[in-house]
Amino acid sequence: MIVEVLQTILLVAIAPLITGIIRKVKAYLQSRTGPSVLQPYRDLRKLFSKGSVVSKDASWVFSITPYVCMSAILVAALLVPVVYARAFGFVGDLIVLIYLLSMMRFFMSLSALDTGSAFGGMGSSREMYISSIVEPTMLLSIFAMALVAGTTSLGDIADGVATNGWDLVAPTLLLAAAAFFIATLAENARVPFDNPATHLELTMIHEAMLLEYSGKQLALMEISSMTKLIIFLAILSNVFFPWGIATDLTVLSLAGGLLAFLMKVLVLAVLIAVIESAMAKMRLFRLPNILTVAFILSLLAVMSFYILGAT
Amino acid sequence: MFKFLKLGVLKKGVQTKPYPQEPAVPYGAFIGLPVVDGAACDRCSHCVSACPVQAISLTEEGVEISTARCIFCGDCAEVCPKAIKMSREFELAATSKEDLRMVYRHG
Amino acid sequence: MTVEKLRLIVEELPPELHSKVRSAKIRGNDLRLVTGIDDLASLAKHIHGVYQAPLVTMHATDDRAAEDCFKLYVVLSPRGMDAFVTIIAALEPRSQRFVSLTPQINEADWYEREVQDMFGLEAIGHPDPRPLVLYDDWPQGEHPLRKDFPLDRRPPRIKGEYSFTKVEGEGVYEIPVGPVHAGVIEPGHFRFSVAGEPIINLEVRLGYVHKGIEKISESTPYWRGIHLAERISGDNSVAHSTAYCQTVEALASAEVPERAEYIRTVMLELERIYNLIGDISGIALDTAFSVGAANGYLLRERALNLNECLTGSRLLRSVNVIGGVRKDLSANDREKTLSALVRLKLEFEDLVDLMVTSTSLLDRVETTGKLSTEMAVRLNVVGPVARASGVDRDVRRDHPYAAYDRLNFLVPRGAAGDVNARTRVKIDEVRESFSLIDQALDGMPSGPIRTVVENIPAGEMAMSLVESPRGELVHWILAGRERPYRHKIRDASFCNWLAMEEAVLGNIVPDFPLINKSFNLSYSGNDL
Repeated sequence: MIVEVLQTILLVAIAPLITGIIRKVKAYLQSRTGPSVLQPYRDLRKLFSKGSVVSKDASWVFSITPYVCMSAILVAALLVPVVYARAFGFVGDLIVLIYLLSMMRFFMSLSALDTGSAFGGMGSSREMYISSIVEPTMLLSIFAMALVAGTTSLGDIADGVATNGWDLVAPTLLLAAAAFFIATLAENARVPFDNPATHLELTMIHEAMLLEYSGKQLALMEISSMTKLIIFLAILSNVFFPWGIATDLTVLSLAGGLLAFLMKVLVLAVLIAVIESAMAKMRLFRLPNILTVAFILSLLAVMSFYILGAT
Repeated sequence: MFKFLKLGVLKKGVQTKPYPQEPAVPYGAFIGLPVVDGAACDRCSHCVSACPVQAISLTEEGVEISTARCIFCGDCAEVCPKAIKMSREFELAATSKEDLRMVYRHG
Repeated sequence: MTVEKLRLIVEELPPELHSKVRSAKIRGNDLRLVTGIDDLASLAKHIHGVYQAPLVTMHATDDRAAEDCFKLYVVLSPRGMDAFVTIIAALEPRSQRFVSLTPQINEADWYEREVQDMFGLEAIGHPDPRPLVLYDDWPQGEHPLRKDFPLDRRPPRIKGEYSFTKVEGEGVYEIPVGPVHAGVIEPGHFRFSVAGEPIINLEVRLGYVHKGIEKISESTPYWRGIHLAERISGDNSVAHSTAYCQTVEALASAEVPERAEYIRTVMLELERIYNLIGDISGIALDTAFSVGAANGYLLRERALNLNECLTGSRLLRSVNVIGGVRKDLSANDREKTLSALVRLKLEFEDLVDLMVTSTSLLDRVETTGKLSTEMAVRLNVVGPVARASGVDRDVRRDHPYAAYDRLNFLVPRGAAGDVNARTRVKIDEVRESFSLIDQALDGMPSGPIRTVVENIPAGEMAMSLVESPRGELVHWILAGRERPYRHKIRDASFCNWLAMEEAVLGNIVPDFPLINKSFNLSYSGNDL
């Protein structure tokens, strides 16, 4: 129990660090030194100390959205295995996780429309447009792993795959991981779907929904976004490639689990930074092309499980 | 495919410098703040009429230049090469209006 | 030669127009025709049509003190000759109305609206008589460029409203963008009418950075006017100050020493290089191709450092004086420039290689923001934007100034008119600029770098065109005793903003910043 609580706190605590690392790697690839990896912490501290300005056209939806998002993401963080291969499985399984993230997206889209500004409306419609294909992709790809392990609880999937020594070159795993990786880029507003560092309000998707927030509410929304990213990375590392995760509660295996987790997340963060630097943002109406590829991959992952059977 | 690495950081390295820990030295004959040699000034006030923004004035104590008004055009130095030189000073941020007045005393 | 061709223009006028010309004089390469206000439109249309002469500028002067009337000046530039035709027409005494030229010469659109606002004249038959420069809260009857409007007058503000073009339809809504933008850029208001993502209509509204430069110029002595000219549009300092100096030198009929002309050419090309490299990097930045953008801005910084090395100013301020240039280029400067350029050239080719081989970038820029050749000609678009749409016009070749008539260069052109074509044209122009600087440094004669210019005769008119990095810009001065009586400035951006409204049609909203960046227009240069 204690270990599970601690691992959730660890997840939320290092989320800004992962964002900082991605920015640092992107900066190096652009031949510049870039801000320190601890800069997101300083930004959050600054935002918490500022007051907020709320449009007088906004309703209660706008005010409660940061709290809804924060609580949804914290509950989602409870469900994900980080160091130890069991999480708060009794709270929910992968379906609950996906729909907690959907609830977060739903409230963000509503709050963006709430203030009546044109950019918020555009951000909401584009977010819905992308998530209409990303959500089934996410669901299907984790579902493929659930089929393998025979359970939908994320902690149990990690435990099952780690202890059964699943063959690395299994097509189900690789196809599902590839589909989920593309979904990670889309859900977390990374290039080629969206540019997280842009100042052009007409091109924003995720940022456009945050434009009206300020002060503490903005800090909560930023933490939710950063935690969402690390949740996705944790799922990628511990559900798809769970080797190294602690399956029992000894100090040695917990330490090994922590190390393995940190290393896997670091590798994924660097990979995301490199992919973001290698390409330009795609045209808005070409995004379904790549998202549909991800969907087909996840569909193939599920099909390959049934065709090849579990070994 | 990896051109963004080959022609980017792998070829050039990191190009930024930590300013202000490392000082930024301007190149060549950078036109910065005008500096007056008070002793060489003979109060002809050609500089006062040459300045397009009235940043120079002659007072009792000496020649006063307002760094807030100065546009660093170099006309004053051109009109009076004897006493006015354009220095390479560009770090002119100040926290009080008093600091924006530079007074160069006569003699 | 040119004088002969200009005389021919007058002789070839059809009889009904020939009789309307009250006087025809030639000064330098400028043919000045004086005519009555009712014949202005037909005469201008004739010359515009027959000699394919784009409109260079159109403005008014307030001569009520001396001659009890306003005067209109229309300047055209006939194709194929290094010459201009200026048509001067005086309005009826105490009258403020004239027949609009816009129905015949479409490019006169914004010029006439500006004349309406600044002088209070009325263009009868103008298709869009809304105010251009003055805002909704400006009271009626106050016209800033009139001589009886003092420089320090602050009229009281009133309540008013501006009506944007409305588009009706199923699912059509308006998006107002600006003047406060989410990034630190110049202020300008864009009113989109969209149906979902595709843009149906765009209206651009500018004027937020109007500084009153033309009015201030009327109380600024000539030698101080350089500082004013440099600050019209900060990144085109040398182009504007060169045009201003050349105009004043033409008024005094002064000859600038050859060495000064060569140095001016080097400075103009240095300015072109850093601006165009910045534009190319901006395209990478706006498509989120961060490595290309970072490398591009690094190159721009090197170009700015070279500027600082040579002149002491990163943006090449205080380079020109009336009569020549302020600072000479020593042999040491020449060596530094040549070696810096060698390095810059190699890195530039790397940048171009990086950008044209990135398929994700190419996918964004091809077929985006297409401006057709007919539209480019109809709106008299200038600069790289025009050349990328197939219009063959470059002031450096067509009306040579400084040392351009003694140097060899090509004028790059494109045909597609999309963002890709504009970027390619700019890339080729940078390469030409490298070559021009090399030639100018090689061929620079020795000698003085400035000449004394005094005696600027009052009542004389002169103008100068310069190809800035954005396109052709014009300074036109009607001389007063010690300061200009009327100083008309037309930056290249003034011509191109309307083309933006055409280029975005059919594109989606997220592509608008990319199209805007590919035009790279100056809000400050437009607003003056």
